[in-house]
Amino acid sequence: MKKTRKTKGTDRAPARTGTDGKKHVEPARGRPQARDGALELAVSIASLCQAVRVDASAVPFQTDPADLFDRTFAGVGIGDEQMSLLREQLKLLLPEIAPELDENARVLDQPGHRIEAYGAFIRVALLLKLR
Amino acid sequence: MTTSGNPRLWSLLCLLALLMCLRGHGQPIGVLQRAEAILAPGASYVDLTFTGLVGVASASPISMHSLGEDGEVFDLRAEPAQALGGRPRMLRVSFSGKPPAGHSKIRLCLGAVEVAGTSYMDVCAEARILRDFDGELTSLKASLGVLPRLQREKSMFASLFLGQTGSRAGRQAHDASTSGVHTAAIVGAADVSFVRSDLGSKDLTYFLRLKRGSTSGMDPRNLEAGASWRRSVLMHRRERSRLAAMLAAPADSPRVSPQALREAAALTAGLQRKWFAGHIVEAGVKLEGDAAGEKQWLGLLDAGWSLQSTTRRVSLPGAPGWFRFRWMAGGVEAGREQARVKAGADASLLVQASGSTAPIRRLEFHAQTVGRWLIRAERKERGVRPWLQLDAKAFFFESPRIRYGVRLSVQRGRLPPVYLAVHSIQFGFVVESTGGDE
Repeated sequence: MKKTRKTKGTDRAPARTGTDGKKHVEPARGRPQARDGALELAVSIASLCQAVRVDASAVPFQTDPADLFDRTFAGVGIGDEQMSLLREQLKLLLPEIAPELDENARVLDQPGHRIEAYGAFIRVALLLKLR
Repeated sequence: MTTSGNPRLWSLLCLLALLMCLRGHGQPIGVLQRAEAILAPGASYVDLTFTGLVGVASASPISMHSLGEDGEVFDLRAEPAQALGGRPRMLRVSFSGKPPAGHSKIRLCLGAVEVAGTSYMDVCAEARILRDFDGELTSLKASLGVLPRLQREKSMFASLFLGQTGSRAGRQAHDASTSGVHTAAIVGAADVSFVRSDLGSKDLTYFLRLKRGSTSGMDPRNLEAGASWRRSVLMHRRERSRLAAMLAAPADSPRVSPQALREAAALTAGLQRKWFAGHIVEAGVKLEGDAAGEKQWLGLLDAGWSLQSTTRRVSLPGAPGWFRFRWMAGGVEAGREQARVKAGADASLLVQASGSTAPIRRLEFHAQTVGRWLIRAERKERGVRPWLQLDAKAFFFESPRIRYGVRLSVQRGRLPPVYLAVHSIQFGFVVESTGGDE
């Protein structure tokens, strides 16, 4: 049987004490990961819709509404006609998956989708390009 | 004395068992909704989705290892948990080390985590390692395909109510049919629209639309069916391309610079201020008929050009919302004996109360107008034939799945091919599913 290898070093996340006296984990200090398309999706929505705001300069990026990905496109004011515009904007931001977005336009261009579900499609399409 | 006969001892044992259950002892507990591990070149992380808002500051991974089918364990080095933008119920834990090929799960334990304001200790998750991305994409497409279709596809409004028609013409017609006896009658109206996307082409759709009323004065007798090709074209391409360049990481660095991200934010804000987001070009063929079945069908070519607005924020006190519109700048409908030029607009407004005590929970307003200029005489008439349709809905109660309210619908004008004068006002109760269009 193969031996179990043990890793050394910090299993536990480095923590610092904040002004509120609580321990805080340092956010987003990990190795840079391949992009998952979430920022690009949020920015694409915001570029078509004033009801959504994205602060891309924060780490992680901040959205208003904060639970943007739990909502549907229709819920933030993106209608039928805007879904194809959203796809066009995404093709500009994520040109590597433009063919996948076009091929699946029929299932993607539905404002009733939860934004998280659309984001999951983008993430997996991007992961396929990493191989 | 036997143990079974000692209620105090049994109570103590039960209490201890309960405490051990609450402590969890590294077992998955109810606050965790989903765990998924990604393993690809440049991407090795576990995404955790909790049932409520999770505090990243409270989450500290204490152990992480992959599991083989035969119980083999391979330790991984966990990095600090990261919050994910726009997803406050999720955490991402990146890791170093490559699980052996036969391993299908990653077990991750957090020493403590705060979910929806409550602290939990020793929360553990077993995440399926996602390696077959082709299979996952197929599965995602299948799940996306069963979600609600385009809102237009399920757009159907039929009403049946007791009342009198709103127009003089309608009342006269009704009085004539009842020998001048002025009585209330059961009248009804149907407004049905089905749209199906083509299986092969993303731009092609098929439609069937019917507008009917049970009495004259509220019966446009409009029925049309056909196929339409539609192409959307983004406006402000230069700004959008620049935005793409700002968000793309430079070749010599894995991260986008803060300066580029700030510029991207400024560009996005600039695009939000634009009134229009894109053009929509439509062309199609349709059959137009008298819904009463008295006239023959007309074949028409139908083309139009519209401008789609950005969704504008509406900020009423305590009731945020949005407004959007589409302006059909020009269109033509042409057949063997028909030639029409048309223009119009449709607009939607939605306001939703943010407080739980507001009497009106949600207000929706939709307006649609089109004016047709008949270049060639139809039914011996020329000139402009307008059509206006307004729908207002106010919801007073709502559950997570259903909302209840009232609806006011106004139709006025004339629709081809019969061009009967319509002036109707309908009012009634409405019960609506919240799914999809919350």
